[in-house]
Amino acid sequence: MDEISILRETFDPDVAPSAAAEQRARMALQDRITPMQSRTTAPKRARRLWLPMAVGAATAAAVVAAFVINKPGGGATPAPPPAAHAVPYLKPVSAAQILENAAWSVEQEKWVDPRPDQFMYVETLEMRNPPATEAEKPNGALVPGKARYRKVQMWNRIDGQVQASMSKGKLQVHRQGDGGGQWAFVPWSQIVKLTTPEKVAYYEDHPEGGVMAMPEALAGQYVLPPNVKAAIYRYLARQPGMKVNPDAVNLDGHPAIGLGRVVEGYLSQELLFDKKTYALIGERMIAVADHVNRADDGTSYTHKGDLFRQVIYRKMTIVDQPGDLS
Amino acid sequence: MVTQPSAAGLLTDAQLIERARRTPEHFTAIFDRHYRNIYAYVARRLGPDLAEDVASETFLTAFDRRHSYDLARGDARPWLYGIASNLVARHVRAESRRYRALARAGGQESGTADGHADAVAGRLDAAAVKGRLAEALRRLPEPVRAVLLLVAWAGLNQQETAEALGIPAGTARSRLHRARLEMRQALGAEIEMDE
Repeated sequence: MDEISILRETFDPDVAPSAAAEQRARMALQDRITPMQSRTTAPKRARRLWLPMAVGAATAAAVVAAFVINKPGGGATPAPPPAAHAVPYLKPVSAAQILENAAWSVEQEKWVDPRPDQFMYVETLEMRNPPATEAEKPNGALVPGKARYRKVQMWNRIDGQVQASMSKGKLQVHRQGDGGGQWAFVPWSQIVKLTTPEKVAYYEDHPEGGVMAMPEALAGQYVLPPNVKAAIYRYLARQPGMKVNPDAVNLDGHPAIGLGRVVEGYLSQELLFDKKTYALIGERMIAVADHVNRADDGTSYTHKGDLFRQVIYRKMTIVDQPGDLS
Repeated sequence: MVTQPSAAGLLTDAQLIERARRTPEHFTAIFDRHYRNIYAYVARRLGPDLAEDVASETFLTAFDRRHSYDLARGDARPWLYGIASNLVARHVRAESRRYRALARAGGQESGTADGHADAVAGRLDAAAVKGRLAEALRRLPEPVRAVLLLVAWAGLNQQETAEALGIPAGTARSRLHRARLEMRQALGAEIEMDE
């Protein structure tokens, strides 16, 4: 017997996948195949346009949470945490695999379409430097030991006409056009169309009404139907440069996985997913390399590991009135 | 739409892939034909847990690349094993750990041999052989190991192995030669006895 035959016979020649494993793999393939059917003419990639959600408060309005509750009128019911053995990839190693697990998990949620007069409620904890530090270095890294989480609460009516926020314990409600103020809001009629990665790509180039929030921002700042969230995750999975940040992240006691792209060569802009449930639980921007920025207003030094932004998504749900929390 | 197994059974892999370019569902027939073999190959290299994900990703990658498949090649196995090998190569440390564990297990079992019962001795010899081979596999550079294992575990010939890995046939031949020598050295006396 030669060495090739010995190798062949010595190492588990009859190893076979479990029926469940084969089924999962077949479903993953089927899922990859299915969206192809609804593919429209591939749009040319155009320059990306980012419109902030609203002026002022909106920049701080970052976002929402994954486990949603429900009101009779609309919203999602929380999915039970997916059993580890149920997700498509048991031990995901790539950003694409983690995002597929996230898409699969979110698809387990139940959803009732909201009425136009209901509100998206988004509650986040945003890490910020003390006011004096922010005034001195508005774009500086968060200072360890000094930066603190601040609660941000935002309500946006589904029809985009009313927005509310909590400021120093008081509810502030604004209407489009009040005092001449306007804010951009991706129309609900556009959101509900984003049911495949191809449609998300098309939306980026042809946003309805000319209002476009990046898909990552949509996932974090809007309360979305499960199939829309899943389509966004699958869209992100196909984007070049999406990587897993191997550095461990602990967000509010939850071990998290950071997925994102490096921008400007040294900053990693990441979405954070719960390691066990694959729920989207936050976002952050962190330096992944040392960097020196020389500008007219001075030279700044960034060190690998410096954290520039960290947001925890606390709650994301549909409510009836501004001020309602569930 | 569901691919009809009876119809798929009459078609070559290349014909199915050609059809899948127009009607993607045909690609499931490629999955049904080759998934288990791809899984077995990957599982022997990485173990069952990682094999599940890597085998699955092999077919997703293949599906995405179906338009670049050379339709002159009727048999898709070299193409699929090539994709699987490239994905396995991303887990080189996990593969190395697996061989190290197998080598350790083989060493421990062989150390307990008492030589009294033929059946026990035979089993322990097999464990020792597996341990030595695992250690030799661990020491091989990944590109050399890939050639050897595509031949030994995937059942490809040298030409198919070269196609799978996108390397010249001469390179595949020299890597296989080197790998076989290493395996022979690891096996030492056993192979001489059998011969």
